[in-house]
Amino acid sequence: MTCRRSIVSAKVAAVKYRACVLLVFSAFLLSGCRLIPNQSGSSAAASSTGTASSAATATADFFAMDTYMSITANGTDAQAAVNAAQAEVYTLENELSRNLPASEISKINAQSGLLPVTVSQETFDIIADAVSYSEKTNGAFDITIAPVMDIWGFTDSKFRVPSASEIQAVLPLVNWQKIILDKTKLTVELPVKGMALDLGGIAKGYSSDKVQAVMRGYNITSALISLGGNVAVFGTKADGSLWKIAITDPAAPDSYIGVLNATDVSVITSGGYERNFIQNGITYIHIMDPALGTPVKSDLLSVSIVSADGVQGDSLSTALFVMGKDKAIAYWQAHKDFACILVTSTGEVFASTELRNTFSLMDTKRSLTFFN
Amino acid sequence: MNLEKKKGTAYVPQYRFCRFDAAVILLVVLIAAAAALWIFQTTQKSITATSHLEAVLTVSGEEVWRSNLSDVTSPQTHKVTVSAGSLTVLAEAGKVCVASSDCPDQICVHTGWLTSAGQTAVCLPFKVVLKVISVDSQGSIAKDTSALYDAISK
Repeated sequence: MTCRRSIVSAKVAAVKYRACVLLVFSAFLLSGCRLIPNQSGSSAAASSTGTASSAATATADFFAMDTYMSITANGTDAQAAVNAAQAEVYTLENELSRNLPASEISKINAQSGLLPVTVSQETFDIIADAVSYSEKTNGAFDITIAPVMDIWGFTDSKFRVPSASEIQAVLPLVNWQKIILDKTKLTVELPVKGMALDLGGIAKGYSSDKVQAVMRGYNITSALISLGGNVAVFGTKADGSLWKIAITDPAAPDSYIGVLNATDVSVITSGGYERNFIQNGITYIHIMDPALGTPVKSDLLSVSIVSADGVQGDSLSTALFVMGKDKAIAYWQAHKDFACILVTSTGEVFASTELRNTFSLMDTKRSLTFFN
Repeated sequence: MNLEKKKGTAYVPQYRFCRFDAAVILLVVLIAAAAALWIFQTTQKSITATSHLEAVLTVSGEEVWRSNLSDVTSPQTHKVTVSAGSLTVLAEAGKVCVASSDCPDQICVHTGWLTSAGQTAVCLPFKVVLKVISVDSQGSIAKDTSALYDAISK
């Protein structure tokens, strides 16, 4: 724009200048307005446009390891990734299930009091991991708990309350320190007849780690894995936001206590609210105290562990539940290599401090304390 | 704005803020606000009006029953029988549950009411899954972005 020396043209320029200022101002407003539907709409529309159309989503829902599993992957090879993940779960189940007579665990159990059994490197490593968590938790987590699970009927769902003498008879069989591992020969030996391993407290955590590793080989940008309520996530959702993982309310399992925003972690919860039976008005839960051979009488209703390591999450969720609130907090303070959420029998929630900005309650009137 | 320099001094138009400017600014603000409101309302409408909750019951992966939970006015029951026993589902307005089951562990019954998309009640012994999904007007599974969570840790 040029400007002549006359007063008229100066006035014209002034008006044009004014108009330009207004235009720029209104452009700001209009662009601001356009941003509103873009931002709120992206969450609604992103699934059908943009990122989602170039990257496919695939889901597999199936029964395995005595539980219901759901694996969802996003990425160009999502279907192949999900198929490989499902196949991996079946492979691990065949190796680790106590209920399949041909599994390596069944072979070890069948040879209790007899001979060492040679196993695969993978099975050996899982058992060695489990033993290391037994050691760290001073036996609160113990994979030799199987004979106790049997007498309470949790193995075959024929629930019953065993007599005190029955419990005393099997208690000497429950002791992780008796497991004999030979690293060089890859053998596992249970030296006392009747001893048995049950990897139920660690197999799903291990599987979720393994499934993630398998899926990462298929150009997966993000995944949501739920192995019977053991949740693992990696990457972000299609709209770039974090995954939202709800923690079940152990006092009312059809609702939940709060939501955790996270990625690249496993969130694994243990509680007595799902597997239990009631006899003469008393509720008997499936998590056993290895020291007593009876269902845990904890001041906790549930423990959720947030960790990048599913094996750690699975074993510690059980162990901290067995320990009870004070010992659980003390354990966290001594290690601090995971985060946790504890729900007490009085309905209070205690969470470790690193979850301060990512965990929030559904019912804000509920008591939530972050501990250091 | 590219204004010519006049004998070394920059030309700056002099003007005062007048009523006309205020009117134009107000008009622009009003138009922007109206547009924002209109877009917001239509987006909200499209999210809430076009999707509804459906309960889906599968046995060993096969769908055996389905119910639009927003159409349920009086309680409905549906019974499925598998070789090991039977299981009854109860649907009420906006919610569904496994009301009873012959299974030994009763986990499906303990799960209680399912009220939002993504929730499931699972009966392991019978290989039965009761699931609530959000379905849009085209009948495909809606991406329910208003959902409060993506998965439940339990």
